[in-house]
Amino acid sequence: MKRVKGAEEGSNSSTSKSPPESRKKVRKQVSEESEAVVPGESPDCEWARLPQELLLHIFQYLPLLDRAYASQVCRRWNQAFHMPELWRCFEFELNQPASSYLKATHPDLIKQIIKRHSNHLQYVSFKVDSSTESAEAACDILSQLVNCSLKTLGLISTARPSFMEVPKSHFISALTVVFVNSKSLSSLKIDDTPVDDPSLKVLVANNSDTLKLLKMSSCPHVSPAGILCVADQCHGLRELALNYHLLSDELLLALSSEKHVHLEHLRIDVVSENPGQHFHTIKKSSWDAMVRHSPKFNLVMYFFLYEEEFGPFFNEEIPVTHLYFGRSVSKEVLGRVGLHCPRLVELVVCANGLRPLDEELIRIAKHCTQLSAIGLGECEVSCSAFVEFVKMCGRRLSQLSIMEEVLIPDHKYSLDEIHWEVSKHLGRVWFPDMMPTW
Amino acid sequence: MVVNSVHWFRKGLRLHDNPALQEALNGADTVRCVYILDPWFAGAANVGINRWRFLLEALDDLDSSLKKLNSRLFVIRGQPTDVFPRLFKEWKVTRLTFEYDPEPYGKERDGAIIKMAQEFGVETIVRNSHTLYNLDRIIEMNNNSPPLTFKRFQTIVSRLELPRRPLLPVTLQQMDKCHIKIADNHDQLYSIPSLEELGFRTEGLPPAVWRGGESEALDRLNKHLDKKVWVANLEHPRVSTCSLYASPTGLSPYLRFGCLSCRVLYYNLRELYMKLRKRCSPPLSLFGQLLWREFFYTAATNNPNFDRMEGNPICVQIPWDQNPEALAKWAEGRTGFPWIDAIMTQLRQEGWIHHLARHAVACFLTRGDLWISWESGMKVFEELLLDADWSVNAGSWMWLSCSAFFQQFFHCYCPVGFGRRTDPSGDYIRRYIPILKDYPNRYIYEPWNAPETVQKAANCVVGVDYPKPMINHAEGSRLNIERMKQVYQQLSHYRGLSKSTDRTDLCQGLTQLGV
Repeated sequence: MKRVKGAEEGSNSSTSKSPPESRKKVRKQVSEESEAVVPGESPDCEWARLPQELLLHIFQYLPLLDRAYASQVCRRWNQAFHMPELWRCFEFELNQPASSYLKATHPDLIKQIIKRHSNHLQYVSFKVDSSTESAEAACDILSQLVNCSLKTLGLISTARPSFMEVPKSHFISALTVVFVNSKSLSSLKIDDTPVDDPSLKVLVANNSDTLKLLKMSSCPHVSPAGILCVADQCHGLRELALNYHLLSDELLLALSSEKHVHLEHLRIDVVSENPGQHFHTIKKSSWDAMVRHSPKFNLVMYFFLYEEEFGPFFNEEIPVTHLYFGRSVSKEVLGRVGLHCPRLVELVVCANGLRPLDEELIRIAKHCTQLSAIGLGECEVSCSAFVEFVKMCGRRLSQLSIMEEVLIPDHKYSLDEIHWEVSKHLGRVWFPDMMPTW
Repeated sequence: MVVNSVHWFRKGLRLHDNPALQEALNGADTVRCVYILDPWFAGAANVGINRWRFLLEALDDLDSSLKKLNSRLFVIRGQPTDVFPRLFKEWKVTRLTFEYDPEPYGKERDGAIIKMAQEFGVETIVRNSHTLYNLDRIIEMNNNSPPLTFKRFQTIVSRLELPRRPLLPVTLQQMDKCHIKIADNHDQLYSIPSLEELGFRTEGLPPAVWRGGESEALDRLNKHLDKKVWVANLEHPRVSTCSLYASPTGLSPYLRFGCLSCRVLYYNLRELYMKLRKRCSPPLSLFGQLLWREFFYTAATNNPNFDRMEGNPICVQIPWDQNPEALAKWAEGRTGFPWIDAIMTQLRQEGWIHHLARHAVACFLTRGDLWISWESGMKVFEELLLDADWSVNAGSWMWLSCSAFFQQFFHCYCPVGFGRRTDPSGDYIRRYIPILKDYPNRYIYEPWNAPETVQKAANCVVGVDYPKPMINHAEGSRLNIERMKQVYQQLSHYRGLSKSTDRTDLCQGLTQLGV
């Protein structure tokens, strides 16, 4: 708009006493402007007269802050700013300066959203830091989302799980507001929260037709019966994440019942609180039923156990596709993995020990024919065995991550030579990961 | 025309391979070597007693070496911007020389000094000898941006000419030509301060494990090379228990302060290799330590925000937790994890820890367990660690916390297991945490799991004589893996509003190979 004004001034003030440089500038602006303006159209207030749909389209590219600035420009732009389509998705960031480096969503903006846009909201997430205050603020907002018909709700703690510090009843009642009012929840992420069996019942009572994704790892107040209720009623459930103690044969059978859609993604966290914890076993027949019903489903398992707690696992075939060992896992267990995980696609081993994993890796290469990604942390592998492993897997290995310090040079290969060999078999340039040494 | 030179020591505290000092001497009538320090700054700065002691010893060594050349070191109290105008007038200075400092803060400071010198009609000569290469050249060869992977860096370096050969040390003949008479009151005016003068309490201070100075550095260099010959293996030795302890051939603090020229080390290693292996050229891996240092200096030289998360273009913005209490426990070695506590104790007592020990404590503080910002860890290292260059320290912390350069965050060091595998005997723990010395090997890395009888027999009850573990590692690392995934998943999305579901593929780190 400034430019347009300048152009007008320039053309009208050719006899003005402005210094030569500014006259030149104005003249340049005029000539630029005449290139841009469609001949015959009036040059004034073009921007304000853009159709709303165009404005909406452009605004969708802008981050919220820039959009907010734009909304201050004129009334039409302000109207566009408040169009429902721009308020379908929102991420509330709730942080306290004392516990986080990041900025929080402005409280005034939150008030505005609740006042003017709560019935537009469909995809909502809350990111809270480690302070209880932030989690409570999230619950307060949730309690006010009475007119919302949410499709997605995510409760995400970015540091320590502060939702667990909120009084349970406060949390449950806030969550229930959404469950009852939305009636069309499709995705729900409530990991590390005090959600319980009764609230899951409320969820199911109101959203069983629409629920597709449920993530509730580390929800200690939920029992196997509680989650079974969800599986029984929500036949459209495609993605589920929970802790191992909630997993049961009944649950797997419910998920494989005829009424149920194909499951796509099941994530299980196996976490030990104290050494010597006992874990129940799941029957092979239950896993078989799952595979028959949903042949393509991903079974993702994260293990955070002490070495001696792996007894109940990997003694029979299990259809795990993505396997992550967050703590040290023994050679013996990795040997069992090689034998019993034919569907394995990704394997990550954080740590193993100081005995080389040569045989175990070769066995995995042989039996896990779908393996395409592997990450080895603090382990030991001889260079020869590693090359053999890569050779057997060949080009299906799209991700190969191993720390340089893991590889033990031997009579056949040194560290400098190994990257050539491996690159050759992978069909691309490959190097081990490095850590700074100083 | 009379040439009165002043050589300004900052890093580069040595008389060998010192091109800037050589320029000071070149055709000069008088040369004075100065070091400027601000004692008021000592208390405020984040520098611990070991680093000050090392520096003071290095200055003392310089002074002794200059004495042998009939000169002295002039230590001047104050700030360079105040000190130099005085000196320029008093000594009628016509030439100022100093070693190029590639760090952003250094460049800014030096820019101001050069300008000021011009106003006084003082010629300034700056020479590069703190790094092997000309860092701007490396950046230029990488499309005008610093390489962000070590492999890329090595590739570029392999295309460069060899670093410039080191120069010989300053000789007596050279100094004689620029001889000045040392005043009788030199020691009153220009002496090196003591630790007490800087405000440190020294009663009960154990002797330094790492002695500062050029003489010590050169002595260690010879031993370092001898050891390599003896081991007949110029490759990465695997870490063993003994490498956790301070090595009499360790060189990193000397490189940091410039007591040892990096080019001298480079050429000595190169020549040794070529002699032993009778091969044409050594692999880059031979120079591992030197190249890592160079890598971080290159990454940092044009980035004044290199040492922080906010406003740092290469640093991933991670929602670290602010928790001063937890940070203090980590810094003071009171976490309840003997492996971590022993390492932090060694660091505080001696000023050096092995690089794997650094990985362990850095991982524990940041993405492994406590989820505290790497900036806090960096500051603690800056205070305590003798070889913590600004660039190398910040860069390494970003690397280890998966904030930059490195994205395989699945790789996590267990504060119990990793320690046990590195030193099964537990002797390292016993040495630095003597209260645990009577614990059997089985429990020394996790004393809280020892039965009460064992604890009592060892005269150390957890929760009373030694802290309980400040965190449940399994739970902590599970949470943190999730946090890292959240951060990395968001990176490929449009920032701000993200829709519902993310397919949680295993460890996003695996599905995005490094930069």
